[in-house]
Amino acid sequence: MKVNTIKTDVLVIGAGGAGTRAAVEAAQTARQVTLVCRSPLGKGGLTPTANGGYHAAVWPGDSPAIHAEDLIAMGCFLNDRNLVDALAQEALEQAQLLEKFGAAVNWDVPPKPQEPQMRYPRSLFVPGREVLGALNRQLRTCGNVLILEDQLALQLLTVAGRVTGALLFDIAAGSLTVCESKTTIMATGSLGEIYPRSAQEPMGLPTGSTGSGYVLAGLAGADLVDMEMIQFVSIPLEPPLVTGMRCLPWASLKNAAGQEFLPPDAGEYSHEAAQAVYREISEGRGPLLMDLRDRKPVAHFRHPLFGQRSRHLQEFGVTPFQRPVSVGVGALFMMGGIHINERCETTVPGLYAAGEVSGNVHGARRVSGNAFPEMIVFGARAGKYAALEAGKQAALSDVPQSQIREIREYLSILIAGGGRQGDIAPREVRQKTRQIMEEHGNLIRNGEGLRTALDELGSLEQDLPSIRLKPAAGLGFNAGLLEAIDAGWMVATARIVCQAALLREESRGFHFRSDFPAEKEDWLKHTVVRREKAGWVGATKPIVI
Amino acid sequence: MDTRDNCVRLKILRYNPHIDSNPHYETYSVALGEEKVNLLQALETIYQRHDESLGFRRYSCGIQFCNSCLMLINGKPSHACLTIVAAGEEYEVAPLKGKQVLMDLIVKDHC
Repeated sequence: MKVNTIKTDVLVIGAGGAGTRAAVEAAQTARQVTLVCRSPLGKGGLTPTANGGYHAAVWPGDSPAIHAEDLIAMGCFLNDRNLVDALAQEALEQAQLLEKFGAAVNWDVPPKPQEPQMRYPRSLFVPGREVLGALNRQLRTCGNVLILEDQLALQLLTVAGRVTGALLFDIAAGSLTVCESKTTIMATGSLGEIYPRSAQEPMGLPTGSTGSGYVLAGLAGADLVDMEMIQFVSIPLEPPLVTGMRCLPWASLKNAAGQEFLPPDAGEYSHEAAQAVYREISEGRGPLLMDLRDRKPVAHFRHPLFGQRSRHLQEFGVTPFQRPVSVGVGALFMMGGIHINERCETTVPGLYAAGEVSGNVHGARRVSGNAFPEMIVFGARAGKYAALEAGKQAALSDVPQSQIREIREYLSILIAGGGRQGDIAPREVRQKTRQIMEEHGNLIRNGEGLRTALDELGSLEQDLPSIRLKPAAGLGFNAGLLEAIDAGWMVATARIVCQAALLREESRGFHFRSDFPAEKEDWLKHTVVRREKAGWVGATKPIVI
Repeated sequence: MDTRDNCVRLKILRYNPHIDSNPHYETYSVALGEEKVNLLQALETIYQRHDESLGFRRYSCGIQFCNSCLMLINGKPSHACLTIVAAGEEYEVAPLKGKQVLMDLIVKDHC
């Protein structure tokens, strides 16, 4: 297999909101920026599916300081203050910039705070499609941004502990490219696909949310913090079409005995609500039905697009206004991730991170409406600081051939002979991982279950080298090969999540240990999972207060 | 191949530039359950159960923004994610016209 080489100053991996914002910002300063996208630009990942709540302190009497305090209280004090301050202080100016780039921002903030504990209403509205549309138009006006579409980053390359680029797989051509970079930004998004129920798979189709960024950064030596902190939310369970389309109105939900059970004032996106739904089902009081047939359908979304989404769902006859809908919980958002500081530097020189893949912004619970300002504020910061550092970096050092050889060998194992009959198909690895996480790594966990999960995931990991691929005509658009690569990341991500969950022997926010049900003062610290010679090892590190 | 009344028939124009000298049609029958299914889901069912080599963009934004599932459906450019397919019917499915076909229903930068 021939390997091409390209050189760039700043390499951005991932082209959702955070990655495109980073690329736009980096292009102001850096000589050459390269943006890598595993789909065509704007046609992949989670940002296009996102509703678009964007919180900023604009209400009379509110301030960035109050916004920050609210986020930290809701995050159960696990957030790093330097990051929360940056988010709250820059959310407004970054929304204004998005508007300047051409995104339609709705400044008409509804008067009721999004969640009951918030002291002020803050919900601006700018849908994912507006964000991406504007940023992608902006990108195309930059002469110094190379956009690589249908390219998947397989590995970060390191020289003497510094990230010096990435190895890219061209999904269309089936070829490998080494991209050497002075600085690299991870903006690869989330991990929802490690759970069978997730708000991250509209219509049951994958979005590539397999945790690749956590694994690649972790393998390069980056600290992964609070990987146990995953936000779950009520989603429709059946039929598959509506799974992942966050279309549920926040309305009465009853158990099989016809009783309402949700704690009053818990809030739609709270861990209290998610845990109550989970307990009703796991303790045998399901199915939980939402039946709104006696009500008039409400278009509660603030953009015509979502009216269209509602219409489409009604065409399918699957809304609770048309028939009782069975409800459960699914993964919505990853609070944990790659540790960053306020310049978006990770713990590995040369590597930056922004957006959902980064870790220490939202603590133990994200407040709805704050993923977008995180994505934009830290996207811009990562772009700025990565470009500044790239300007000071000397010439690129040569990438060690041994690292490239490893991936070539890995790929040739995957495709060996085409018809090789391995022990397990990529889809089985995916399904097994999801079953294990559903059973043992879900929002209510315990030590015994997590240890079982780690054992089972460990043996699944040993099966990976003998994964079975059907004979395919070449490596271009070889969906089975992509499934195999994603399956490997899912197993590794699931292991990291379980390891972090086992480490934190307390319950806080979205992490609930039935064997340690109380919140503990001495656990006011981040869990850390990092890669060492012995494998993934656990540690802790202090919170920035 | 399933040919019962509960099936939708999809006649798909296939072309892998690496091995095929010319595009050709292949017809698949997909059994439908009680729930309504859109064309994108029917393609996913073919990929999962019948033919792993079928090339289409396995992605849906769900809100007609990404346009990655735009294709010719019965000759008209349409979103596969918005096209509900009916049992007993046949649909002709082809890549968008005037674009370079990378594989089957996948075309190069089509918007």
